[in-house]
Amino acid sequence: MQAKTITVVIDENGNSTIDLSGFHDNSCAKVAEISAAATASRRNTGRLLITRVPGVRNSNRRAGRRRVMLLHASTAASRANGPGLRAVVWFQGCSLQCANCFNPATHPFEGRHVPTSEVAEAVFQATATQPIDGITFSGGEPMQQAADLLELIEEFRNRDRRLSFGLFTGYTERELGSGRYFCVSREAGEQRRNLWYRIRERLDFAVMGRYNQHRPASAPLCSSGNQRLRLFNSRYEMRDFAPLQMEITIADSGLVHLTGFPILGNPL
Amino acid sequence: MSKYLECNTVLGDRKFLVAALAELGYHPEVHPDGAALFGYEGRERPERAHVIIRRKELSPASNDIGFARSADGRFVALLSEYDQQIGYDRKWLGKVQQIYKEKQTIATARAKGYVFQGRDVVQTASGQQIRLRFSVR
Repeated sequence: MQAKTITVVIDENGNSTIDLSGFHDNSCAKVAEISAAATASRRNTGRLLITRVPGVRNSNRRAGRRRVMLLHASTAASRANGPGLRAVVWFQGCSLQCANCFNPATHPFEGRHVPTSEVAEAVFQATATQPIDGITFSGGEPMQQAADLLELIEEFRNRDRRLSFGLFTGYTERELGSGRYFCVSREAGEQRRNLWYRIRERLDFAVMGRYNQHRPASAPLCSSGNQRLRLFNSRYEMRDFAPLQMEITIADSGLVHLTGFPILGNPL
Repeated sequence: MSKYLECNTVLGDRKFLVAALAELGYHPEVHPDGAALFGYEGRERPERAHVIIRRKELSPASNDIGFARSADGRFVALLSEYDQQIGYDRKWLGKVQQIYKEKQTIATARAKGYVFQGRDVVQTASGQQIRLRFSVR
């Protein structure tokens, strides 16, 4: 029987991740329970904090033969989330707990479970009259639903091979490359590492690292100074990425949607 | 006599409300202490409002349209049943709110230091959207 270990990694900013090796024979809810009870991270404040993953469920379930993801929202066209005109898919659920995160509504692992094929179809229908350059995945933390993210990318690729793909993740490349990230599905560390490599093969760019409110951003697409924009192939160059932008969409009902980088404060 | 219906709105700032109505081609009256609305026969109605589009700007059989400040600081739109039937309905009110939000957002964003970069009007399956872009510096 594989040993059950919980590894807590704490970076220089005091952010922590957990690795739950050996727990894959439990349900995810059980793993979350175990992690909530057993995972403690000592942040650089010296205080002992319990890392909780409230309400986490296994989003890696299938509806019939279809994989479902926990979806927060999507938009058909944005110029603030990567090169050109892009659709954006926001995953629901993130346990990283970055202080003063811009998008706290995406943190709970609860909400709409939607088949990845339906998400892709809805985006394609919404962009039918307005061709897009690619898709950007944000959240929430997309890598905490890594298997669903991979399948969603495949859904998009199967429909249009020309699309480019971008990712916002709170994890560093080092964490992802070593499988040290939390996943709501049941993959073990080695599987998580492989998942990341398969996702990375399909990505054109990613913005990586926790949001740190004390380190102002300057680089394109980065919310804080510690984050890194990585290019994974030659499709884009750094100059293709516009300086930080904020984008506000106002529906004809008066409903307002904000995306991008409102780092000077919320204007709504 | 056509009944007035109250519609809640997201409108809170009189300045942007008046600007939005002006952009739609109206000449709204502003009454800080409120003023009576008039019905299609020219009779004074019991309803009072703080921003008013007079019926002569609407149609020969219209009643005044009013925006009355409510206790929570937002305006309540007063739209007669008749006028709602000829197009001054929730959809029209949505358009007012869309323009209001655009003006308010641009002003607030500029005040915070954002630089306005552009505006797109996008037709979607769920209606027309206005997309505003700002750079951070």
